[in-house]
Amino acid sequence: MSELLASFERLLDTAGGDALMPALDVAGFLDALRELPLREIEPLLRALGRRAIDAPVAEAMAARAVPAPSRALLAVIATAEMAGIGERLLDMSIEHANTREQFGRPIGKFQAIQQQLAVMAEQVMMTRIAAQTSCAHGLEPPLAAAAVAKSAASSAAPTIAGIAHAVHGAIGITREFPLHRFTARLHALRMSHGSESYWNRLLGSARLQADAQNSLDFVRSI
Amino acid sequence: MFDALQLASIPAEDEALRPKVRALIAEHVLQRPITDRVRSWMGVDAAFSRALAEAGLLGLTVPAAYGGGGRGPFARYVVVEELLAAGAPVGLHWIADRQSALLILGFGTQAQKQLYLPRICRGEIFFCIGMSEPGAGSDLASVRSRAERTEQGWRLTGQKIWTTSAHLCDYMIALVRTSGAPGDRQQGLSQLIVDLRAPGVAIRGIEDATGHRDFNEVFFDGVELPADALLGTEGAGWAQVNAELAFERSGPERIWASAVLLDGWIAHLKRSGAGEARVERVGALTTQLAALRTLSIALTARLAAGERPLTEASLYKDLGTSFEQAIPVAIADDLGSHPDEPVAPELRAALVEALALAPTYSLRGGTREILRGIIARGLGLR
Repeated sequence: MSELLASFERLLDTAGGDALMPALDVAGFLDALRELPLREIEPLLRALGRRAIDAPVAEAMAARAVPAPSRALLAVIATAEMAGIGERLLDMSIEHANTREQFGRPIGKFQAIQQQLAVMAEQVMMTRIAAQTSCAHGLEPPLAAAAVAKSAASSAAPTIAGIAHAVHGAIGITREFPLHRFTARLHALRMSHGSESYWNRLLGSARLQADAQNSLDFVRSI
Repeated sequence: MFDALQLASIPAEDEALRPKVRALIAEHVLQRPITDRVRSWMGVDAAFSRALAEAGLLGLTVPAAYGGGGRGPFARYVVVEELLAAGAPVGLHWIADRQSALLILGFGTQAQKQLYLPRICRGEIFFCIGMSEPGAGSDLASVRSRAERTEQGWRLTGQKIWTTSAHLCDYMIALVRTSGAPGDRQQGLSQLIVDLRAPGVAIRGIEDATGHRDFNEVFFDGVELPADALLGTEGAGWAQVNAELAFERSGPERIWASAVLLDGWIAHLKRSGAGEARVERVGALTTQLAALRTLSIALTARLAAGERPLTEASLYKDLGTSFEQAIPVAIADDLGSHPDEPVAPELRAALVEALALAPTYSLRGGTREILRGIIARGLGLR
């Protein structure tokens, strides 16, 4: 883990609530995107997701770096946060499956649960690679690149949230247990800056207008 | 787990292979009907396989000393994605190029490497897989085919099934029992290189639902094999076959099976017009394809670094084959939702072919359920 990420995470874990944004500002993190390329900030965005932080940290970073952040940039940033949420939800679900016992053994020993968690891991991996790919484009991502990333992440979100809840059972929807904070944030980010259908229409239109010889040529051009 | 999967790009010297592959595709593939091209993996054309070999595009990852290209996994990646995206008939050389050559390279003797590898790279000999048996599908360790030691080598008795293109191939690398009993499971298994023209080998075709005969049953009735038919170490067959499956599962090819159909449909939409629902559907499939391709490149970078990312390869294969299967389903709904629109008969026929073939995508190389079990183990659940 980089020193930058470590100090960012320390701050996220110590400064809570209304104190968070001022603390991040003082420490210089809100200016991070003015100084470092987006691909190097991507792990920080995932760190926000792993904590389901509702404060508009990522948006503030973007607004400091470019006067009017594009929807494409905000979608890419949301994708990275979603990747962090997905990673955390997967960790929580595996932990729960390995500790919660029914029928005399951890529920994670049952194939029905294992198969669901495997599907969840697939969707988390898709979200993660979508985040990394799109963040490599910097602060002015092409529309097609943002479309691929946010569509992949938003398509994956309901599956990830749904399996997390299925594995956790009733405890997952209680106020006391933190799961709902992560799934609610994931659903919110799915809708923000264009859901999958928004970006699918955009990319579908580009595909139908393209001169590409085949789909391979088209996706290579993104 | 995901930290290890980093964004990667294809090296420029491997990208540079594309024009050469495309020239061959233009010459041999594009004029073939779309109903042929949707069968890419099953497509058989010896002349095309040899043309690839002459252009130096077979055995790309085999060292030059054995007649190969001496290149890394990304060279093969580029060639394979171009071939599959165009629906080229790759079936004949497919298994040798993807796994048999690497298996011989990894476990074979110097003599075996010199005997087989140059001919594989020249497109002169073709291999098939010898894993499944009537009683050993997902439970591969229960194979019952058995080879006994003789004074000259081995005597093989038993049966394999679902052997694609066995009737057109020269050799099979078969997983067989060489000691112990079926109850010993993974112990006592070995891999043998079986000359399919040896006396006692009988090959019988199995007709599939589309009327093609790609599958076979292969019977061994006391087949006498030389001592050097043994590949690798006697009794180490289970570890070797798992290495072979890793080659089979982690390749870049798990997203392109329905690409020709997708492109045929997109061409149809360009002629017939596309409202919002259609545009959205094109976008949904294209975004998935683009994201999956990025994933496959990241996975190939791990292979190029000499790693064997088993869990990630299983994650990718399950995602990729699900995507390949979703394409004909989506196109069937789309065409069916425009009942008054004329559709070219070839496109309809290709769709029927793809719908019939699609179930195999998540069977071959390990079923969806087996892969998810491997993933669960990787997640620490088993």
